[in-house]
Amino acid sequence: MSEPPPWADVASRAPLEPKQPGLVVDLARCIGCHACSVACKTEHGIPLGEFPLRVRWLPRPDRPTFAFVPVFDAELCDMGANRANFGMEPACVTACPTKTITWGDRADSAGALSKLSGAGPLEAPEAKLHPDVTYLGAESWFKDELHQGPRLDPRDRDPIYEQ
Amino acid sequence: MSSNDPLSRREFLSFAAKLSALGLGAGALGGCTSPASEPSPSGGGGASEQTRAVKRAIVRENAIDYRKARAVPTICFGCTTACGVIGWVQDGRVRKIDGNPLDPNTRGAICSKAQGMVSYTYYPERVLHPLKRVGPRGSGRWKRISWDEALDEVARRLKLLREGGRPEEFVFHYGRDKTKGFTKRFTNAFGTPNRLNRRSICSSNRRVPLMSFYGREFEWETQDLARSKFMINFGANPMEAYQGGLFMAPRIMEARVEHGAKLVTFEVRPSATASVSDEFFAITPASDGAIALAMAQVILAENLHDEAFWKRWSNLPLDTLREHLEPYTPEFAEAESGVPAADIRRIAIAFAKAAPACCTISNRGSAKHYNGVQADRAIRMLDVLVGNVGKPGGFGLSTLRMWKKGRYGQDGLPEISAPKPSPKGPEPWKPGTRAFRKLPKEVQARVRGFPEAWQNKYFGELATPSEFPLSWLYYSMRVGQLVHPYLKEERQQISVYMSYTLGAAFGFPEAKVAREVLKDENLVPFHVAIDIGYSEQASLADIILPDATSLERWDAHSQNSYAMRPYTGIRQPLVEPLGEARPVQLIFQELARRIGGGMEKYFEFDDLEDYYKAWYSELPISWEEFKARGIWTDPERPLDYELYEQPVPPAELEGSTVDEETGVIRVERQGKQVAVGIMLDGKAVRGFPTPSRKIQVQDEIFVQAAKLTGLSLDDINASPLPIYDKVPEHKGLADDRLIFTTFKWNVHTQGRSGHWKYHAEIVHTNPALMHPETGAKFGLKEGDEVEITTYRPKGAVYRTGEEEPVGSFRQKVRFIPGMNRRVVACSHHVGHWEHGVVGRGGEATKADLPLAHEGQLPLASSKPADETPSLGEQVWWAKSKGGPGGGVHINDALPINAQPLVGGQNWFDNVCSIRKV
Repeated sequence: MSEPPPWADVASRAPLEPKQPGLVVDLARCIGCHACSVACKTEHGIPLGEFPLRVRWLPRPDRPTFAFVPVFDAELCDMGANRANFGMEPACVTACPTKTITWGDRADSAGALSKLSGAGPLEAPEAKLHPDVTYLGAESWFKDELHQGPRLDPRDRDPIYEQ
Repeated sequence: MSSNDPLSRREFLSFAAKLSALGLGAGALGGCTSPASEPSPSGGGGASEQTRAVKRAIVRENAIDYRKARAVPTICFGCTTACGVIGWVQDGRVRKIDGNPLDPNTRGAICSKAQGMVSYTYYPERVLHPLKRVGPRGSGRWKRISWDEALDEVARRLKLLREGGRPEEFVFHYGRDKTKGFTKRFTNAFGTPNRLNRRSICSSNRRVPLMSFYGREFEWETQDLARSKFMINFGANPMEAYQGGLFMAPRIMEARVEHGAKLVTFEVRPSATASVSDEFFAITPASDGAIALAMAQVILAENLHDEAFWKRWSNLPLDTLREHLEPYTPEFAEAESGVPAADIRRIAIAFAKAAPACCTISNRGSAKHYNGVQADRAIRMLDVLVGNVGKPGGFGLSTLRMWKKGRYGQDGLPEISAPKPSPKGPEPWKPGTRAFRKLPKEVQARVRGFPEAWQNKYFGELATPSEFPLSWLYYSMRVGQLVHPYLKEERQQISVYMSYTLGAAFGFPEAKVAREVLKDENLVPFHVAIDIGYSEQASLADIILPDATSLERWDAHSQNSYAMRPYTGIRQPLVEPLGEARPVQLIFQELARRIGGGMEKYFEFDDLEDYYKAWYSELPISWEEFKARGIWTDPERPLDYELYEQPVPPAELEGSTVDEETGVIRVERQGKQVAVGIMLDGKAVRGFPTPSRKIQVQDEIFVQAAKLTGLSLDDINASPLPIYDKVPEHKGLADDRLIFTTFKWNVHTQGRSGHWKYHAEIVHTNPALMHPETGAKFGLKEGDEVEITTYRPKGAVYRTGEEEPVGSFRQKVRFIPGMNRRVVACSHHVGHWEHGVVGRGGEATKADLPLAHEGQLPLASSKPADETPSLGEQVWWAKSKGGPGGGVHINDALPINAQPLVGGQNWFDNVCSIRKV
């Protein structure tokens, strides 16, 4: 038989131990599909009503379409610690079909994150977003739409979904 | 043991205890986290530290334990794309789905719907035992029976039909059948042609243009998106809902982000695809054909077409095309669609200049209209005009949805097919046969008028409705939405109706007609449903047989590949079926054995694994390796470009004849003349699998079908060339009328995902979406409730009646800029009244379902009286918790509207009126 498939022997893999785990979200690639958030909840068995991560569909001010912005909760998102213990990237990173999210060590100057320069945090202090998640392509008007971030709030029920 | 779905009592209590230590109620766990219930930041570091600890506990306590979990590859069943995936299994349960990076089509991508497989395998109301109704049909009262009793009863009724020489009175009606022909083995062995489906509900209208142009084998395209520079999308939504969407979306985004490719979208609403497009135009519904024809005119006028390609491969002289296109100016298209003429010109020129690395994309949005078959022919014609067909970055063609040795484009591939013997299909209902004589007189007259080639494919009005020949001439696509109306009209008589993963009672147009027929014991004497859950369809059965889910069974798999080379995959059980659920293949084996009479010899396998292993006997890798990796592909095989230019091998040319006039090369096989290629410029090349071996931009079949069915030759659908005209009921559309359209979300799939908990959490309502100016015009404010009333389609379509209106429903409006101003839209996934407590928006089912699981699985009950914390408790959007509830069912109001000749359901033409309630 040729080499074992990539998911074999996960139990015996060396953990990934970044000194400063971080996520970079490349907003140019996001298609708003929710693969990341549903994978995260399934990975951790999260109850309904709690969201480590949620994909917001923000109505754009300049075009009559939506900007897709995955937002991560400061308290519930643990940067994929569970999977990292077994040498795997976080559930959101693995699930994303368009490689929107990159995970790595911010302290590693040669790592995956080092290639994504220019990423910055979303300025939305009320929203209690995770400080180690930064964004490429964030726009200044996002903060006007982010109140509770991933958590449910009547002000944050994206109009495309909720009545 | 940790449970994934739902929380076990132990875990729930441990969270509740932690929260009460903080002075927070258990409601904070499953409810809305409003600012008032958050611990204040100034409440002391201790309290927020404890909150953080509780939050971390939520994330950690139920997480997958990778010391124990193992991954097994399989094929997803969340939708029809069928991605290669792996499922993590821990303590005998599938916990979660990841992509399979070895799948060359997906390259490891998945979508949210993959996790739905976990939901539908482990939710509280999954039916795990055979059930028999104990009250009137549809009353929701059931008792548990043994498999023997259930199979004996079904087999007894079927045997009566078969031995009585009336096998066609058995109808097998499926919704999603991924058994690669297994169910067809049963219906063929039984002798019934009535293996009915719902292809017309979905995609018939967009398959016919492809098959007309390129041949039956090319019913689905495979654009080379990864290399494309310019893509024009007419109303499709590959980012959310498209067969092959997960093959397409990553490649489209990569092409745009990494290679500067451009995506232009013409759509009636701001879908996800429209949102990531470089240009988006909110067009008038059903105007796609006008835009496409105008673009063709521009490309020709600017001399940007590929003249050599067109002359070599199209069956239409360019001068005829030029003359035909004269009325379709950009200004005409602007008047029809709302897209400025200057933009139509500019985009057409940019598209042609990018050729051959350019392509069109279209699916239901352009095709599910009265003028939609013609619209898609016009759109497909653009690719032929610029010569991108089969080129890198262009409009690719692949036959690999059906992997069949010897098929066009599949030279040198290993055989993958069911072990012999295979039963032959039933005989056609030719004039004079017993079955033919039972047909209504007018049907007999029509069929007598068909050419013999058509009569050889005719099997009665349910399987091959005579008024819709293009729904069965290429292959049997059927006209699913007419099955129940035809039964109501008594066009055919049936005795046993078997549903399989079917949602007709919820999701068909005018679904109330389906329900009315299904409840009528004169029209449907016996209804057995094979399903994985208590769906609306199953609720109307006499017996329910619990199917194994896709995570619990076997299947062979192949799909057209956007990696431009063939691959195959295997669906294999990750866990044993829960409860008494059985894979459908074993259900049919048992029925065949009980019915006997020779049926049993087609089901002689001891073990489903052995059965599928035999399918793959020619695969170049071992069965063990195939199971371990889940996928096989030949990475050295040349990419599938320009298959039509491949030379016909000399061995195949032996004994062949060349038609002097057309150049078509034919050989004799089993007494028939079979076309294998075409002689062009002195060389024998494959060409296309059409009668002329060329691309049939002009196709007389539309005229012929019109003549033989009595459709007026002036009807747009009778045109041999792609043309455009408004949908009949949109002509002179009154000012106070809108066009009602439905759409699909990325987190749901048709009508069978209402109970997928994490998906219902994201989309559980279906507000009526409209442009703010539309709202203003009707005096509406955001959130107002309206009544939407629908009207009959016009044109030469089947109508269930002539009374107006068709129906109505009430919904709240949301204003969405980006909607076309004449459109109001709702999604159709929600509004379930079955599919359990999640499907029902937090209300427990009213049905009396024996759901005892004998301790095999700690499923929480959905009944409100039960003390165990339930999945129902977590449904924070429930009306009882002040939420909006589970949406409104709209399909009863959507008229049956079967496209002339083809039968596709025209979902997107509905004229409606709205009034504030």
